[in-house]
Amino acid sequence: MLTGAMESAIVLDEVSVTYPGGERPALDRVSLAVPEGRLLVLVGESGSGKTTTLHLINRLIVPDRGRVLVLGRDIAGVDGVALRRGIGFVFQSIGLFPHMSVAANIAVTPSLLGWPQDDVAARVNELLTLVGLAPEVFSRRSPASLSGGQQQRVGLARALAARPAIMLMDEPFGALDPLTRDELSAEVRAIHDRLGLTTVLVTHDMTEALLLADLIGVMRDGRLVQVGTPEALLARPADDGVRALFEHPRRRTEELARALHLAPGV
Amino acid sequence: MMGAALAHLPEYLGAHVLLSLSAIALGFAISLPLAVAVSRLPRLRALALGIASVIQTIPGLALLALFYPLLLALSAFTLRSFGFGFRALGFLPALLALTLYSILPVLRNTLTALAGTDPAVLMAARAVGMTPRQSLWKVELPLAAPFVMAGLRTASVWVIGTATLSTPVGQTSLGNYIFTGLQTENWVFVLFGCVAAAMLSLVVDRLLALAESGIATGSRPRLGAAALGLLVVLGTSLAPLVAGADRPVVVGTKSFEEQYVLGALIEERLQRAGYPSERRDGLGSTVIFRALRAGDVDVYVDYSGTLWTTQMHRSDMPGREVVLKELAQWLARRGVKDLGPLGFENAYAFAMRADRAKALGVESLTDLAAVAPRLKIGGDFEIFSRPEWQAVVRAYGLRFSMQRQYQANFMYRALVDGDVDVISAFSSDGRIAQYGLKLLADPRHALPPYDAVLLVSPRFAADEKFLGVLRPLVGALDLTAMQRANLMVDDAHDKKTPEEAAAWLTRHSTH
Ligand SMILES: Nc1ncnc2c1ncn2[C@@H]1O[C@H](COP(=O)(O)OP(=O)(O)OP(=O)(O)O)[C@@H](O)[C@H]1O
Ligand SMILES: [Mg+2]
Repeated sequence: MLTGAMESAIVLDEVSVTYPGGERPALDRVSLAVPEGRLLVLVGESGSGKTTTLHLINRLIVPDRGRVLVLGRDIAGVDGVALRRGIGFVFQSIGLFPHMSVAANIAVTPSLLGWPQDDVAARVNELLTLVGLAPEVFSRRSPASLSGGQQQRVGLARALAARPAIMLMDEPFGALDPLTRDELSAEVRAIHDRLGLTTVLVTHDMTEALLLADLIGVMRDGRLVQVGTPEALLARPADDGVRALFEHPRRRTEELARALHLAPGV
Repeated sequence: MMGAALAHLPEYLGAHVLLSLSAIALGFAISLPLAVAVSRLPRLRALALGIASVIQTIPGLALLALFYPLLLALSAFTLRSFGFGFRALGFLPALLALTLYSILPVLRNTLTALAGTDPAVLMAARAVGMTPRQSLWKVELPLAAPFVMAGLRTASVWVIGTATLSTPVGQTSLGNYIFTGLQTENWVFVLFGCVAAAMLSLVVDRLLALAESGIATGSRPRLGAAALGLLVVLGTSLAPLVAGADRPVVVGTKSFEEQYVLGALIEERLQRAGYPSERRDGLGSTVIFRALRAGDVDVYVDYSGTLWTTQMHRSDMPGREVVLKELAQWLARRGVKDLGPLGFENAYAFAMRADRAKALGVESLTDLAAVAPRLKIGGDFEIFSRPEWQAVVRAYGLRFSMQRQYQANFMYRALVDGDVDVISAFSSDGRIAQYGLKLLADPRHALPPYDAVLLVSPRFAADEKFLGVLRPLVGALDLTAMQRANLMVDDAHDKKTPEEAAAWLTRHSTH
């Protein structure tokens, strides 16, 4: 199962997690390997364990059983704080610090790492430009004065600030309108490629998953049902559930085509 | 009247500001770290909040009064064990009580704010690599700051208001206007004290509001202006206090007119003899004697019967001369110098309207006992819980249809208006002559004699020069003179200050 683990940036090995007070495990013997430089998309219904999986990787939670390896190291013996400073994290809820300016939000992790002030300032400008926000306009603004899409761009910049090799993104576009969503997801893929990141991204949008992913992992009831390339999952779904999942975008596309075709005047 | 009130302002305001700002600062220095420390420990959190809430429900005056005996015991202990004591009266008990009082608002607001931090923000703080401590200092506390400031504002309003109650434990404050004013029916003083305390509250509240908005918006100019404003308040109020550090002679008074007049009389003599002095006005009856023994008060006038019953716990009545002699000996054993009787008695007595007494055929307490079940009696706040009252009840078998308690001024009104039939009066009270009241005889001698005696603390008990300054007062005041002086302070139409009445007494005393 763990063949090729050395080239994998992230490895979960038979990991189980039960939350305090939880009746059944939130994750049940999950094994997963994300090769370096790839973008893995996790999909699955609500409560299937996607967020829990992300939180395991940067040690926001610790597993009851099994091992988690990041860049070849078992993180059981690693200081969680140091680990998290080296991994970018983007939330659906964004979670910008409301009492800090945009620039200060982005500067958080580099400052915690003790980067020199000038380097931090330069990095903030570079990142604002990277995520498409003009530094001279945005750096001094407060998060509350930004639109949802702008806020999530800042969230993305903050996650990237300390030059992490790994990015974890939990429904990063969930709260955005469809246009902003498409635009931002394309940018995320571009940034991923340009910076050579290893990314794990959670989404509920199957179309997005198919368009973005190198690999897709399907979760259900705390288990990883199937992992593979989008083509492989479309061609050989492991069970009816996975098949239904991937038929959904196709069915919608067909419905859409029909609706447009039947529309008067077209 | 306004001029007299203004003359005291620098002293009262300075003391008030020093006391309340110290209490607020100390309370803040305790409550904020306490809130942070217990915020993540649910059990301790509930305990701390519970204790602070209970403290809050204790009436301010009671809380202040409780600290005096506590500190006195502590001071006696440190004196025995480590060779030093401290002043248990005045600033310290007031500071501690007010500090406790100020804890709840900041504690509660900080805890509520910390518990209410947006979970998404908390999660983000962890995910960007903050330690729990960094999360607290860089995220949670800054976000809680506006609520903490709001708590501080509440605390400061409470403390500045409650500090007026520190007068009875011997701490000068704006409450001196209110307490003195209530006792002497000087409503200008009462109002002046209330308005001054309210204005101080308002100014401090506005400055803290400025600081609050400065924190909320991250505006340094606003924070700076608020800090500057607070410094100005502190500086201007404290300037008069800094001058003169040598500990002056402390003249104590209880909370009624005669005591204020006598306090003024004593102080005037001391100052003429070159002793710098200060006043602790309106002290409670038992507080003042303890304070004298502890050296927190150096000189005051008490009454032989009061000390006989409440301090010596005697219930026998061996006659005036014996009481005076045994009292002086008892005091001497405790290091207190009894300079002797001033020449008049301020005895507990029972008074009726002359017409009413005549109609009912009441001349003495024996006569009263026969009709008492149909009558209503009014008393001051002390009488019904005093041993003298129990002695009279026992001796004559008194039973009334109703008992009511009044502030002394209102008690006389109630008698004159017929709301009550009998009152407990004081024989030296000017109002007895003014209203033509009938004092009832005490044929069974149930009430002890109440000679006014001049007492000096252990600090000056053997200081002949000091005693020499005060000795001329002994035997110098007869009952009529004292009644006249008391009436002057009391007169609603031609009200005199205690100082003016004291000056009149000096001119008309028997020496
Ligand atoms: N802090 C927690 N305490 C207890 N149970 C939790 C906690 N977080 C998640 N769970 C439970 O663990 C299971 C997996 O939750 P998780 O958040 O990983 O699901 P998810 O796939 O991210 O769902 P969604 O798509 O709704 O975000 C769920 O049953 C959830 O109720
Ligand atoms: Mg989730």
